[in-house]
Amino acid sequence: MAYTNTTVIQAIGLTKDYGDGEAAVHALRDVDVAFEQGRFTAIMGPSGSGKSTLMHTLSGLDTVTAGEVIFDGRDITKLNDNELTLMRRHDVGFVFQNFNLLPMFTAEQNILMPLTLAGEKSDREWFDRLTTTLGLTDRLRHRPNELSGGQQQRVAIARALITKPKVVFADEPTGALDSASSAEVLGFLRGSVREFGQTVIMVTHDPVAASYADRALVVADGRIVRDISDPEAAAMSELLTDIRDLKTAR
Amino acid sequence: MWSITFQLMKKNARMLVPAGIAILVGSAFIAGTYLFGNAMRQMLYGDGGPLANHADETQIVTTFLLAFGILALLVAALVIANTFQVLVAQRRRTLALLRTIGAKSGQLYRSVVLEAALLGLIASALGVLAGWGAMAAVSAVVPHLGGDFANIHVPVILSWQVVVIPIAFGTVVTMLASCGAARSATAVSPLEALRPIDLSERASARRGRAVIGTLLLVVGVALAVYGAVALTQAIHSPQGLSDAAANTTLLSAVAGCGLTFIGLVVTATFWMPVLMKGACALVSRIGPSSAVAAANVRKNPRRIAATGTALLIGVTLVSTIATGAATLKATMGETLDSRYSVDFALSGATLTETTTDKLASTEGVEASVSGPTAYATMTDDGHEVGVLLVGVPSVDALASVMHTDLSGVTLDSGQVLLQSVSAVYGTTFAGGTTATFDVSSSAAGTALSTDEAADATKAVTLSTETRDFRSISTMYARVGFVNESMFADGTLPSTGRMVMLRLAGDSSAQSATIQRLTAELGDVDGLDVTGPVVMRMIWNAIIDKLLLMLVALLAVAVLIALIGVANTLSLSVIERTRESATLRAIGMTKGQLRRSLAVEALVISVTSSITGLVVGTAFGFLGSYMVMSSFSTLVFTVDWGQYGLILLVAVVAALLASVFPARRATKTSPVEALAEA
Repeated sequence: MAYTNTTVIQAIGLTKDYGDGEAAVHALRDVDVAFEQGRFTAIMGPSGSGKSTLMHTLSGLDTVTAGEVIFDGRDITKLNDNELTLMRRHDVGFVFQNFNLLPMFTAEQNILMPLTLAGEKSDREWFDRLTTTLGLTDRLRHRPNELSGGQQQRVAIARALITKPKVVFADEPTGALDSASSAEVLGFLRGSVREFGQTVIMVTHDPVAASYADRALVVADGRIVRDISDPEAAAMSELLTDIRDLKTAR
Repeated sequence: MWSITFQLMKKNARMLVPAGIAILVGSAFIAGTYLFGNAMRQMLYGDGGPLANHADETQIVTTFLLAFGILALLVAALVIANTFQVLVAQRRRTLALLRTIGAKSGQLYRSVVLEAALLGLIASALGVLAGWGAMAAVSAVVPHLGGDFANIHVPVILSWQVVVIPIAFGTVVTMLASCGAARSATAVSPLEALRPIDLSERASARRGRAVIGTLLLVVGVALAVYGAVALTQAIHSPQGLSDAAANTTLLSAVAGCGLTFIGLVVTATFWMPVLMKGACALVSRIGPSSAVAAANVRKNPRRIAATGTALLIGVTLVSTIATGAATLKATMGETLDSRYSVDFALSGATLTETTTDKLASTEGVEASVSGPTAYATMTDDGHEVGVLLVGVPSVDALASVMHTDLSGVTLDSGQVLLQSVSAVYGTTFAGGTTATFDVSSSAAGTALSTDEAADATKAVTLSTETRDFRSISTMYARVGFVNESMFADGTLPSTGRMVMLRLAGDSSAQSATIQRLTAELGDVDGLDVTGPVVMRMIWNAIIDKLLLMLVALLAVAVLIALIGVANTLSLSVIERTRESATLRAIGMTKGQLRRSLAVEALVISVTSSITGLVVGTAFGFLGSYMVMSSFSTLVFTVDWGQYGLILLVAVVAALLASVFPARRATKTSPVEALAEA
């Protein structure tokens, strides 16, 4: 894919292997992909397909065996630990499936944590806007164990957005939530793309979740096998089943 | 980072308590040392004190006590290091999440050290208060102890050293001890927030530890061996042992022991599990709980080494002192025995036959010889030497109480048996000649002017024989034995009496006999008592007092070591919450879980205690050798009774220490423990 002005993150020849010799696992095989700014992309695939590994390498959480990841004009595979950390602080936001929040801090403290680590003051207006949009204003003084799953994920989203990052990576954000909370969370993610111009890259195995995205990438056996715009839940579901059947048939 | 550190600390406050107590005890001891020094200085050297206007020597005492305080803090450092290791391990997911959202590894490092600094500061400040309080209590109680203590006022003087030094030491030691854990905190990768990684120490960390530890061991052993060998050479060299040589070799040996011990502690993760393998193999046959315990011991060497090391330190300290004391006593005993030919000898002008008969028939007396004594002088090599002439029935009677070979000696009238070596002048007296004795008819030992002496003496010539017997009397340069018939027929005037006893049994039986004899003697004064048994009792009493003092000083370090044992056992249980929960979930009963923890504690404690006893014995022997070999031949003793006691105490302590953690482990329901932290 060609590098356009609005490409925010791009992978070139991305390869990731675990282990060596006979037991080697080729999680990613020579993947090329680019993500545009202001778009909501879902990365889908059956378990073991390499979708989580793709996200980990794109976000700098994990190292690569070969290839480059160009983020904001820099090859992040060449950065050292401190530089990656600073990148995570300012330019990237994370939302995980489990254990997103620090249990000993309140919701407000959790949201402001990246700024606390940077020793920076918060933009109060932006904070208020986020918490209002996410419906968290009366939950700010509560600790995570006093919040429902859906509320915790919303706090996590707020934290991911507080530094106005260039990309938000979400790893199975609805995996541990019921359908109502899932819909809420996905709605907010899409809302952040529409309203704040955020770029969101979400890994999911749920076709319904993928339908909230503008673009769906299907990963199987470490390669991107489908690139679909405006995915629909039913079509995605069928696609995934086909891929699974293909695998078992082989 | 402050608020984050503070919150993290609050959450794990309970885990930090034992480490805090360890620091508190150590710093209280140091504060107490300075308070004691200040009080001593005031009481002895201050205005009106007994040593006023003398040079102030309290510094020496303070430094000596401080050494024990530092030892205690070093042991506390072990407890702290382990606590923080476990803390960081427990917090890995939290740390990983912080890394994900932008915490630099340096920030995490600083956070751990900051936490340690806070802990050290608070704990050592509390320690200072505790030390101060203890001193105040002592000061308040002493006047009420009655008798001589009523007028003693113990001042509580708070100088800056009392406050600043313990806090400084405590804080610095705590911070340094946390560095290892701080370093592992930096190794946490952000990915761990997503999937928990089962830990094993990084290979490079282990290698570093192995290298440093082995180096310390090699250097330590080399220094210790050098010290011993150099000392031996110096003693046997023609010039003998100089002060400088004595100091350097002793220093070398002590430094060697210290380094060796530190080396052992550092490498404990390597050799302890190896030593325990045998015990484990044996134990795992007993039942499933034991098999689980054995597996746990094998799997996590760091955890095992932490508990074992704390016990090792305590046991080594105590057994070093115990061995040293036992060796010292045995050596002194043998040295004394070789310098006295008779177990117990009593002489004096006031000694009557009734008394000597009473003594001879006391329980524990195997043989006795008593007879009249006369005081004489003879010329020996130009000196005029005082001689006590003692009348005995026969050579055989004498041989029954003397530890000297008297074969070939005849004691007919006109003969005298003298010592071949003079204890006072060191001169040897060759026998086979005749010597003239100027015998005094006044009471032996009374000082006479030369004129009076001339009037009271008469000259008696006797043919002399000599044997190497020693120290029958402390008051006379020489003692000579004659046939008692010489007193009966009037040749020699009887001015006193002597009784010599041979005591039955071993040293403790002999000491008991001495008590009985002393009781029999009652208030008879003017008596000269000699004999190795009495001297041995005095020496043993001194050594025991010294031993008690050293053990009391060491008690602080040993106490902290025990805290360490309890702490590491309880932390190891916390670390294993998920594993224990899994075992419980698949069918292990609470009783089995408790038993497996007890077995684990048992295996660790027995192994480390035995190692500690061996190491402590070696140190004790070396120490005794360095101190005593210049003037005695050493008798290396092992007091098995003491060893058995130490082993028992260590094992019981470890078992008790495992009770609470075991209860906590079994109380948590499997579901709770398996849920996300």
